[in-house]
Amino acid sequence: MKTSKGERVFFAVNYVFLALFGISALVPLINILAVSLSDSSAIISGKVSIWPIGWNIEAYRQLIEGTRIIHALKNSIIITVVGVALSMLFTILAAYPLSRNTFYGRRFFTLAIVFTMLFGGGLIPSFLVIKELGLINSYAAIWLPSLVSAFNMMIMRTFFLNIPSELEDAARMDGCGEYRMLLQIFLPLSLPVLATLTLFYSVGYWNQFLSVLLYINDAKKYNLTVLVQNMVASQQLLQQINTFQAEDSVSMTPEAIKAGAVVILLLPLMIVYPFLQKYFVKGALVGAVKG
Amino acid sequence: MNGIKAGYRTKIRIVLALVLVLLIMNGCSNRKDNTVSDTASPDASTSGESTKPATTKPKSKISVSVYDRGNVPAAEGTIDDNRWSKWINANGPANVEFVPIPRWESLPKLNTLFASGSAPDLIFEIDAKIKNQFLAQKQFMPIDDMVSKSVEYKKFLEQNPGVKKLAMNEDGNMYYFGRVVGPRLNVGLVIREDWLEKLGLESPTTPEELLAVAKAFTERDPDGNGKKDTFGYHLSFIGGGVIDRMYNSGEIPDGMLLNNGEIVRQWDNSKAALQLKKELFDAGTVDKDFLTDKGEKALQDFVNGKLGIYGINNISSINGAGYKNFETLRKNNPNAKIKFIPFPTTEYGSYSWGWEPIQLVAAVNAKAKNPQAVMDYMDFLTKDSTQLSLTYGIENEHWKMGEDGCPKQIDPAKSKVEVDYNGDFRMQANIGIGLLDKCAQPEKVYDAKDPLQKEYMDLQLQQAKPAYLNPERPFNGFTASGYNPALPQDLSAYSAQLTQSISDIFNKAIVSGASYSVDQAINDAKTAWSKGNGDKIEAWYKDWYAKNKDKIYTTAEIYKEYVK
Repeated sequence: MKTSKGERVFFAVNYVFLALFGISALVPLINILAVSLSDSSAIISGKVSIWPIGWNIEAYRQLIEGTRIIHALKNSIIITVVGVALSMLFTILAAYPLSRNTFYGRRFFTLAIVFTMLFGGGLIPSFLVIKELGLINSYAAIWLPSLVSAFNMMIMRTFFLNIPSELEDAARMDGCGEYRMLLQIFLPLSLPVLATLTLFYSVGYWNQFLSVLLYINDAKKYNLTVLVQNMVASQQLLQQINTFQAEDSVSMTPEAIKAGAVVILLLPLMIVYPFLQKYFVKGALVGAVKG
Repeated sequence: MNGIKAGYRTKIRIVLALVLVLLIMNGCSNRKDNTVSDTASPDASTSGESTKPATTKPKSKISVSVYDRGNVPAAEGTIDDNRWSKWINANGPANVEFVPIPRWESLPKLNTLFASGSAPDLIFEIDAKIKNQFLAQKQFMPIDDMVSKSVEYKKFLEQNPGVKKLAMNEDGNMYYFGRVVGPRLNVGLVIREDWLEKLGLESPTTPEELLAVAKAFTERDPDGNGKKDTFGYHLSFIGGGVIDRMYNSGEIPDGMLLNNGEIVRQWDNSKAALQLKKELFDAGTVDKDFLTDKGEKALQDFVNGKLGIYGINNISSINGAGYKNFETLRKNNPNAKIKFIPFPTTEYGSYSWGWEPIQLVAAVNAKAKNPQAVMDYMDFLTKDSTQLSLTYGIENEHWKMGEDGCPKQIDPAKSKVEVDYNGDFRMQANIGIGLLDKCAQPEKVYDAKDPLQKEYMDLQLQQAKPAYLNPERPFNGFTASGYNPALPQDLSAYSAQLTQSISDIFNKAIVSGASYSVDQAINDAKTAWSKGNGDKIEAWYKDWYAKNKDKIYTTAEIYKEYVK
């Protein structure tokens, strides 16, 4: 199909604009990567922009040997993988019945769940609830409160509602029960929404900061965000001149190490993302319903 | 259930029955108390155990907070379980459970711990604002009783009466434990000596000379590269603060000065400081965008050889800004020579940047079950041998005593990995007095065999120390800035507001050239002050001073005690 001149100009401007926007979003990440691989004098002098100067992997070596970052990485992975598995399982189990109009009490449960989206309890009450449940210092305090995000569950429910009822009828006529319907008909058709929600939950669990900070007391169980925050936050020293502890100046983290820690924090999700992206684009009902 | 299909009816009945059973079971089961056990159990020796010999008292259990910086090497463990936590438990008077608190997120963590009643017995926290917040909430217990029954800490207080003065609260009770860090070479003014030599100038000793030298640095191309790309001074970060202190208008609470025994809100000092800043800016000697610079640009300019006079911080630290910046400067400019100069003298006197010899480091939880055990622990920490071991390591394993009476590290690399991370366990260490002070002098920290380190060390001893730790050039204010009284809540809100708006007015005066003069700025500031309840603040300070003037730990006393 021939594009008219106006359309071509439009596309060109679009591409240029989006490319610039994409690059400007990418440059800080490339900068951090470059800083983590640079020599400290060059970093203090501000010479590092997108290419490392004075290439050395000293920062990574110090991180891996001198700090607990690998343990924290392992903890983060555990929290994310188990959390996502549990969350997806319960979100699917919640969304499926709410999408079937033969479910008794469907209206009531939907309203109740939507109601929880309106407000939360606040910091101290949540802490007290977790404490009374005896979940302090265990990962259950991170998994259980945010097990099913009401919003995500609504997304999935809407998706299930949009699957044509002809498929369901056809399956019922062949004697399909509820579980089989869910596992073999609905889920394979829902790959885009499953991929999206997996990604949302992964990012949520990977980035958990405040809940780990407050509920986990054992330093062995800290995840990557809390550890990296401890290292990166000492940047504030440049501002606070008078009120710091003498020991602060001994344990100032060099910039290269901070940058390396941030790279380790970002890298796993950045690797996972492209693999999930293809599911977003795949059509949901290609070839399923004819005519 | 008439509208529901038959098959479903049975299923619903079964589900409802199960739910009922679950509810009943839940109500009947005992609730296990899984709260984090951190409140100390009472001293076991009082429970009358006759089988134990009378001399060994079973150790009581306390919980102590410790900062977590994420810097414990993986091989050593974690901040609450490593060789030093084990050493303390083995050698100390109590079984300590350490509660890690992230160093820079201590406020939310402590808030939730206190709110849920699970805060540790002994809290180490350096930030005065955070400590005072919890004190106002009555979360801390007074320690006068405990201290009077102690041994080491009581002795320490007698030798350092300033600590007691500072730890005293308005109600006459002591709430905080303190330590002496002594005078610290922290902030100073550094000038490019090679540039001075090249242009045939002397180091500036008055504000007029400062302006002249800054102008020369900007206009006469001192780095000889044919481009006019150098700045003489910088107003961002420390640069502006130095000028405030030159005129005795920095570090004073809300602009209050002690004048002839009376507290007054000064304006003339601020005006003179503002005047100099404006002149520096108008002459083009500073970066025009200094207001957006939090210090990074000034530092980069300095180490890249584009800035002639730089306000440097952390002078004495070998790992921190002081030495590292010098090293970088020398790397980028092999001919660079620096000189530490005293702040120029003004009509208001000669001054230096502030420092605090005493830090208040710890407080006791009001709900602590065993205050005596906590006090025993603090006594243990105050003991010289404990502080020595925590600072240098285990004798004969990490260090041996040298002939000069100072510990010599056996293997610096081993000490770096195994000892250096324990800084927060020794927050009580009195690094400003005694052996720790003697052995932490620059001569001991810097390696005289490394020419760069030797050069920097000499500069510190010969130039920086006489310039900045000199009783004839004291810091601003009637006491150190961290020891000023805390305003009551409503006044402190006004104070924060006023500080912000007056600072904005002054900054506007600096950058606006001819359209907004210094006199206009001062008048606007005075108006803002009186409209923003500044008079109430001044009245509060006058009243406070009248009631507390003999309880203040004055600047003169501080210098007399700690700068010899």
